[in-house]
Amino acid sequence: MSIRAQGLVKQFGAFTAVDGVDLAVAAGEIHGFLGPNGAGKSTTVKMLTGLLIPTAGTVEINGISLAADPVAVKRSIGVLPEDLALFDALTLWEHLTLAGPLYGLTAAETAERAGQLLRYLDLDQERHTEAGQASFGMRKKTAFGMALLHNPKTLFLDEPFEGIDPSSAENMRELLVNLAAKGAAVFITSHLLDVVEKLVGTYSILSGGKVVASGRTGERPLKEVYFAHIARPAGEDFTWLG
Amino acid sequence: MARLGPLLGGLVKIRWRTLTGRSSAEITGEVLLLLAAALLAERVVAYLPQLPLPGVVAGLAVAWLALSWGPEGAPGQFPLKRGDRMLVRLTEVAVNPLSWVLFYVSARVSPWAPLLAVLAMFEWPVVKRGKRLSAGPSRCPALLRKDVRAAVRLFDTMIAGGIALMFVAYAVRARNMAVEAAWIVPVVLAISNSNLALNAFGTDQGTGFDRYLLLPMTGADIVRSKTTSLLVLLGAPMGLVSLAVFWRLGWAMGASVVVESVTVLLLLAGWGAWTSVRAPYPMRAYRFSDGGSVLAGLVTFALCLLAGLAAARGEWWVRFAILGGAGLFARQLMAAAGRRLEHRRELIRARLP
Repeated sequence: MSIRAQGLVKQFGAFTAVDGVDLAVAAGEIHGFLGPNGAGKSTTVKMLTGLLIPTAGTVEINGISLAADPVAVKRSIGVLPEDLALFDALTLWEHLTLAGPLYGLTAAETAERAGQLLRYLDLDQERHTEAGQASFGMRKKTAFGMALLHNPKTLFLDEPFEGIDPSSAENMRELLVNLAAKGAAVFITSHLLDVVEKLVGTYSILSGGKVVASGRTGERPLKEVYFAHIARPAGEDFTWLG
Repeated sequence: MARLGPLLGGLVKIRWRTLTGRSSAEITGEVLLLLAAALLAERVVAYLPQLPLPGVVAGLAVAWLALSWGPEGAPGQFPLKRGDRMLVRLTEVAVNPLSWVLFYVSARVSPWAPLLAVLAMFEWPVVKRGKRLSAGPSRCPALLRKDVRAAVRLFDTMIAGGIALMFVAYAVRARNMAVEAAWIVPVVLAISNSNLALNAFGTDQGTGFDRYLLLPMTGADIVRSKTTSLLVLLGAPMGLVSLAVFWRLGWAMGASVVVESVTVLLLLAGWGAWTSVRAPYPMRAYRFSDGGSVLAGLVTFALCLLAGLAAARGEWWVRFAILGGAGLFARQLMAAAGRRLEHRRELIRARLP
């Protein structure tokens, strides 16, 4: 398994954000991790990628225990985190070239890959813009490029398509499908059910910090499964609107 | 005007809450730094030739800095006409005491510099865009480049740079250069930059700190990277000062200032690494840094002053003994800070917005 988590729990004081989550994602699989706002999706991703330490439970990525060897795990994964984790004072190009050497790439390899990614993600014109001055979409695409640059075995993407223009989103989807076809595992959180349904092979639905449903796409419409477990807020009569 | 009332009131409230939301120690620190800035600026002004250029530079710099201090992202989103925008912008500047100091200093440079500053706020596109300084060094590792860029946008660093330049100007112009000045300047440089050392992750904010955690780096790697940036940032002005001392006071004095500078740098690197993983706080561009522990600041002051002066005034073997001790101190504390960072990452992250 590329991703294996058992009994993951995260507590912040008395509040339990994630409550006993088990996950297993195989190599070559694209897994959708769904749920309403505040369900604990981002907290789970943070625990899987080493940004947060679980209160309880174990995480194994690409066969390596995250607790035992976090640096080896980080070398083998790519992450697009919720807050993008960019430095305001570095340009988009500098972000992409920043990490190459840390992952064992030569300067030439890094520059070639960074250039390709910038062109494919439509960031080439803005390569010398500092992240602090760039739009949200540009920042997100840069963080996405950083996640891919070192050709990770496992990819974690927290809300990758929100705020992205349609043509770049299409290119991102293509990249993910190709990456999975070559054997990488991709773990995606998203609120866009239609997009996720077309892209992922398996999914889990999280609510109140617990996995309430999981399965394969194609067996039942994803929207049907989702709303069977996640209730919509009651209707209101907005007579004043419009 | 009535339409703009709530917006202008909001700007006043933001400034008031920013000022009153700080502890008395932080406000005292900021007032002291402002006074130091004003005094320093006055001394620098005394060295400037009476030509129009300094006034123009001061006016444009004031406009740019004053606009950089506005509340982030706020008024730009409202449908304001040109006159309204001018009023909002002037209110932002007027309610900030830091702007008053700037306008005062610019008026000392040239009486018409404040007027030029106000005009530039509305007419100079580069100023209006705001918040962009130099591109910074480009041929060095990106993490170092990022730290240098973020640091040179802090007022603390600007003041330290000003001190170094003033010392060089003094070294050039003084007939009989005081030996005491050469000894004290490295210590003053270290202390004025101590916020950078004691709060290494402050300029990264929370998202930047997350990136460090995502990169395949151990806690020790991260601490080493941060220390390298600090040594470059402080080493540059200290190197400049040392060169001036070599030139004016000879090899023996120059060498003693180099030993003193390295000693103080090592102490600051070790103590700073330890403090950075203990109690970080956010630092923002074009502001003075505040929010650090007063006790940590006092320890820094005492360490730098005592070790610096002892290294500068003792026998040579004493100087090298202190230098060796400082090296050992830095090594031990940096290693401990690296281990501590691994365990405290969530606490550090929670303190950085």
